[in-house]
Amino acid sequence: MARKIKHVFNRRLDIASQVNLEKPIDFYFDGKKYSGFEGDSLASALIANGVNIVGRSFKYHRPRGIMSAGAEEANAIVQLGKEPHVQPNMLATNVELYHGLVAKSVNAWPNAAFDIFAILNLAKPFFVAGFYYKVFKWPSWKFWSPLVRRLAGLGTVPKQPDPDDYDYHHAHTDILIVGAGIAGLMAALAHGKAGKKVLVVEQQNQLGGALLFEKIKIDGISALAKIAEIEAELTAMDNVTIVKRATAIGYYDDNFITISERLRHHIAPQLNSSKPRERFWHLRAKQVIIATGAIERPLVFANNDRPNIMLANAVRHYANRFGVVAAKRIFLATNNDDAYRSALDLHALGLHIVGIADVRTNPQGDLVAAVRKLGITIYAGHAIVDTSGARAVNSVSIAAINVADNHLDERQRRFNCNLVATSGGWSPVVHLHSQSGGKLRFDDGIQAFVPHKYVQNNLCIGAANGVFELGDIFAEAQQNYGIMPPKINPVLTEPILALWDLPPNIKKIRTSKRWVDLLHDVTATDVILAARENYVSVEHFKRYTTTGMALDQGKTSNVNALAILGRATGRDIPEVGTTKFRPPYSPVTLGAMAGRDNGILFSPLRDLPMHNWHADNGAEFEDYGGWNRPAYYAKSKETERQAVDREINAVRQHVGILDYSPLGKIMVQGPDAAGFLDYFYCNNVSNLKPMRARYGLMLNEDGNVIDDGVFVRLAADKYMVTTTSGGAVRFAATLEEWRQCEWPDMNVVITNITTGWACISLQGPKARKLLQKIDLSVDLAAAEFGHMEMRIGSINGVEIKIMRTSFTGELGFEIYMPRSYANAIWQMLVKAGQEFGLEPFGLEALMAMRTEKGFIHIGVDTDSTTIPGDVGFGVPAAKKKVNYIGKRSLLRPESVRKDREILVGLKVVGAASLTPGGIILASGYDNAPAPMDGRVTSSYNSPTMGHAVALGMLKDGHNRMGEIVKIYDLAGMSQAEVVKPCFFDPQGERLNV
Amino acid sequence: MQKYSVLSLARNALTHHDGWEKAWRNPDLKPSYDAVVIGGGGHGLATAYYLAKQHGYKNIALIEAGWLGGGNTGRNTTIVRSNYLYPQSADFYDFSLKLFENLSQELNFNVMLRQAGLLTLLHSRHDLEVMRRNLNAMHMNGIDAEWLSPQQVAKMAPGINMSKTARYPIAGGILQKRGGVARHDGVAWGFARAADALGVDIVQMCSVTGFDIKKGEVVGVQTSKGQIKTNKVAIAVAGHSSVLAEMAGFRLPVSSMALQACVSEPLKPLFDAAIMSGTIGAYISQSDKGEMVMGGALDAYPSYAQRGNINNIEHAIAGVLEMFPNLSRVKLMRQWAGIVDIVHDSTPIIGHTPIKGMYINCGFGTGGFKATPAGGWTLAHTLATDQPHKLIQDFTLKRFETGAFIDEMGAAGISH
Amino acid sequence: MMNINCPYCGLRSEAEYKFGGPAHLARPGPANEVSDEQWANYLFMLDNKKGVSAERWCHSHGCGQWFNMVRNTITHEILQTYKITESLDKKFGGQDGAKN
Repeated sequence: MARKIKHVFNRRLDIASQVNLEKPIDFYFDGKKYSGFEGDSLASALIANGVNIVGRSFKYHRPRGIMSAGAEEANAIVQLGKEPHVQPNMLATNVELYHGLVAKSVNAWPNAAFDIFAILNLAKPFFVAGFYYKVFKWPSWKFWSPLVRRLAGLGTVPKQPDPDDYDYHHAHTDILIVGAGIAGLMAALAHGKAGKKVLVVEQQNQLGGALLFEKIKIDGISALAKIAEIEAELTAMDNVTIVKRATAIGYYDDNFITISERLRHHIAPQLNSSKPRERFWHLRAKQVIIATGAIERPLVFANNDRPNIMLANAVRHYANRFGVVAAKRIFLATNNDDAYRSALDLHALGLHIVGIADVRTNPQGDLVAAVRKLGITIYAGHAIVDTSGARAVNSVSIAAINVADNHLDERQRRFNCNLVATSGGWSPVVHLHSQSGGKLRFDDGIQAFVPHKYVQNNLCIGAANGVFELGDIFAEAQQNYGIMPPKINPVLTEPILALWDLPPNIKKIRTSKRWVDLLHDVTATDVILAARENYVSVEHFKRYTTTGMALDQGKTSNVNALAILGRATGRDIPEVGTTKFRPPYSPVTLGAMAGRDNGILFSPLRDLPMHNWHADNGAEFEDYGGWNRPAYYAKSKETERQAVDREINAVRQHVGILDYSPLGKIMVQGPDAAGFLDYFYCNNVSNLKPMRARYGLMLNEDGNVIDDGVFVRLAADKYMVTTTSGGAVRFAATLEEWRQCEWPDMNVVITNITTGWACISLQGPKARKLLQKIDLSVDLAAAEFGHMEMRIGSINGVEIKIMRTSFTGELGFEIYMPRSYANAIWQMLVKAGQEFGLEPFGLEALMAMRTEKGFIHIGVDTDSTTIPGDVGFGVPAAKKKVNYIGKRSLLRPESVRKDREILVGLKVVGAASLTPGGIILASGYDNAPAPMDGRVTSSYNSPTMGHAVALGMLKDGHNRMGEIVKIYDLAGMSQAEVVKPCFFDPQGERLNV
Repeated sequence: MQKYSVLSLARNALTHHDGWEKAWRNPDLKPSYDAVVIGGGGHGLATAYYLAKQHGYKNIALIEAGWLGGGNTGRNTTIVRSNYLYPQSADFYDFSLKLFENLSQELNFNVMLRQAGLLTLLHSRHDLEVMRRNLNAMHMNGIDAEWLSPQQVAKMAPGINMSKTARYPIAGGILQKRGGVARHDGVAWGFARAADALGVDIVQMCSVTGFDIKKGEVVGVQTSKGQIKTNKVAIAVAGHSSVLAEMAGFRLPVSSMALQACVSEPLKPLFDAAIMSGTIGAYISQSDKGEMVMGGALDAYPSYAQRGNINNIEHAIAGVLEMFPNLSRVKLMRQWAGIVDIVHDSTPIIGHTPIKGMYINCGFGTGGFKATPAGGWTLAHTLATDQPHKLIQDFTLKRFETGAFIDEMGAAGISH
Repeated sequence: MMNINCPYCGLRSEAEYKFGGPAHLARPGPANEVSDEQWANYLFMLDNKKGVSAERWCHSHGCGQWFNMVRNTITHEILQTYKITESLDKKFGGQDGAKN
């Protein structure tokens, strides 16, 4: 034990605290090994080890030390952990110490203690607010920006993918209480006892908030004991849930709150943990109680950024909670009573209080009196004006100040000290309230913004509501919930006297660097410069100076800066106003926000019913519109082209089999089915005879072709319509939308059966022969079963639908069956097909064959401007009487223009093939740039034709048959003859078999 | 106008920067102007500037309901590019990019144009085919664009997910080298300062309450700071276009929707280009301060709330992590939204309105920032001459009746 | 994240719904009697109200039913949801006897 105490030097006070001196922990900072104890934060452990400089400032690379003890920290930012568990930009004040923790300072090289870029500090006179808008114009920003970029940024991006998991957690509650300080706990007790479902979230690892570091007795016991008592009482309630290490960070519409819960930040990272690293809560609460406390503001004076200049509450926080103090000789500066608590506590711990500068001329509150009684010198009516010390503060200079006249005395007194604690008052944490849409009001009594108008069902209590003193918090709880106040020693305090910046009457002070936003290196003179240049709107000044836009989002700087801006522009703070608070309250891990939505779950890819068979038979899978489909089946050493050609030849000469299950299949049934569907196709649906099928185009109201497919009339009141594989869900939703909203009186039921019903397609001259070999109950004879007809029957007793149809130009049958039978039927067909030379074929062969036939592929040959006339459906679309969707748009001037781009065939000149996406040049041009007359939409090698076949859209294509057009592609120019869009069997004779 | 230069900065450093003048004046509104520009965003400010500079207008008011650059100008993700499919769009946006390329000199204000490239990722056979058309069209339109192999993409975008088993593997990319980013505030302030120097009265916190229209012709504007006589009005109030149109008695084919964006904590440089994937539906660039600037799709319902919804931004972030898995442990710092004008064909509306003497610039959807100089240039020309500038003659309201759309959904497919 | 009261299912999170344009829009016809201007008015021109607006929404990840909703586009406050066949309340500008 004695050895350990010696090891940590006397910054670790020999007192009882919340760290466990029995359990030392080794950790590393900037490559050096240190030791702390269980219960330490990284910040408290660094302080205990005498590490003054923990980081370098953003612009000037000034040495910086720990300035706070919480989420408002602006200096102690570290890169935490080793690959792959690296975590950039963590606040040392929020990091709980664990064995083997590795932390590195950011924005410094080689380390924070000796940073080579400290040279930039010399350029301070130039690096004023917005200076970069004035320079770097020559030769260009592109020239300068690489240098600037290298200097900017804090932590570094991990080099390896994140090994950890993150979860979403969806929850509802009656009451959400944000913050488990005393105010939040009182509210939790009240609502818990009333039987409400209560959720309490606390960002720290312990309940208690400010009471974790206050030496106060409540009901005769220590504050910590009181908190433990309340925690026990709450834990015993089944309707109350307490979640620690959880921060409510976002407040959205209708009381929807996001919460970042950190489950494994406090333990050494390890691979293969079963727990997620973080949980991202989506919570809907009936009421949100915001008990988020308040944040202390630093005072603004020259060189107020040196290491060991800290917030007054932080100094006592470290001393009381962790038993550590950065140095022994302490000077305090304040404009309110709270800093006196630090003086009392630190004095009681045997530390030397050099003095207290209080800008108020005659402070008389209870705490002040107590301090006076101890013989500590109070310099009333004084303020710190400057400090010195290269690597940590070693002296302060104070001067008499007249706040009312905004005047500073010339005479200064200097005091040696090595720790400075300042308090410029407290700002309620109103972030969530502001995010909820609630308004703020500037309260003159506490000189801070407080919640004003509530828009959603929420309530701010305690310090978050500007109620700071414990007695007042109990009184507030009594008023809100009727809770009898516990007994405490009442403390009478006096009001704050706002001091936002030092008076400007002394030039040396006026031109000094007085930091306002430590993290972004913004000084009071920057704010004043912004005002001088008329960036006086709060948003302009914020953006021009970058105040409040750093990692801490201005938690300690915003109010000070607004006040300085107000003074510089002759306005008071309410007139200046404040910017809106944006989520998140504190930074949240991107991985947590993505949850499990990564990899395949980011956008699930659907497998085919026969997926395993395809995989076993050499399929090369690709993502086609969200379906994982075989592009082709490669045999041994085949190239893609060889495989596709083989598959095409098999279909053209024998028979091919295709897993066509993604084909959209929608049942439309009911007495009004025929009339209803007539609204959706530009050709006639209702005159179709039962068991007959027809190909049709579906339009949107703008007249554009959105999908195509065959529809079948199964009975007078029953249709099955098919769509492209990517369009099934969309078209079913479109049918449903119009049925419900435009024709609610039509008696129709729409059912999307796409995934429930598989489809196997057999294409090729031997398709019939193959099917005649199996146990199929349908007469397939050409005379009995014509092209574009359907039959219902069975295969081996399984009820199926079979349609004679073709997208290849060959004799073809599509068999529809419940998905669960598809595999067995597929394998039976494959086996039966052996003697006919059957081959499975993939999407690429299919695409090549439909291109040989000139059949369009929606979204490839068409785009969002294509109308029926462009793809050969002009006549039926014009003739159809029904006021179908899109009909009126086909009458617009643009739709009836004679020279529209229409579908054509393109026969390449020479041996080369065309590239889809090639652009057809306007006549008279030889190369890019040039006006565009059209484009190549589909192009495939055709083993059938012995040359490439291509489709395209060409301006005035009807009148250009036989013309040789020039086609631009990145890879080079080509030429093609414009032909009719059908290369193979134009008469369709191969279907008549 | 006080000149900004290294010299003037050094000189002012000696006097503790006491000598800098106001970037723009705070004039009182006069009772009558030759032209009134409504909207102090980038487009409105550029309109006022070019009216004064190119067309010699000496008596212009620019009125802004809030503060300059406070709408979408100050909320967008600052991407500039001209990689459009149709020649009308390409000509317009490339003209804008060319104005951008000289803007810092023109305005004597560093707008921090950084042409580090705009990289569009391609993930599948379908992407390669569809985007080949876009690339070839860019070449036909005279726009620079390069086709990148997966290896070239990997080189430009360190950390990008090159795994073959990724949900969206990298199949290639299209690079517009002249694309990149510029500083949004710099553009607004640069135009404001230069316009002010040419005598434009910029009046902030001045909202329009109505128009005086006689026989279909505008004769005045009523504002919260008094009435203005004028017979030339230019409206550039993206997000609120319909509100102004309603005051003037016409409707627009515009829907106001929230577009979200977010930034991460500042990080040391990872890559220089702006990188987007239409298939994944997300985009990312790294700012000069080191923040990752990210965004995705629209919140697809009307809103004037200027705040976003959580599930949409979560999806955009998940998309970014599909591209850059190593960013998973990086933290989000701030999330916000702007209200954008969504139109049917993702092409803006610039030019005449049904009211004589009243001209509008609206409908830029999610990508108006890159058009700031050209939007101002062409609207100023149209107002000054009463003839549509040739770059915008197809960007009319009339196209919604004729059907002559310029459908740039592909080029604008994701939102920035 | 609005909490939307589906007339069929009750309160559900916005994530379950999709927006579908303005409510109570009459589709003009027959096609050859509608002018280009009337058609553009129906198809593209919008009130795009800043404030209270009647909209069509669908509980797409729920019951699949379309319904109407009166909503404030500034605050996102939902003032009323009602079935697609019901008419707009008079207090929001609906007319007597108006259907759809």
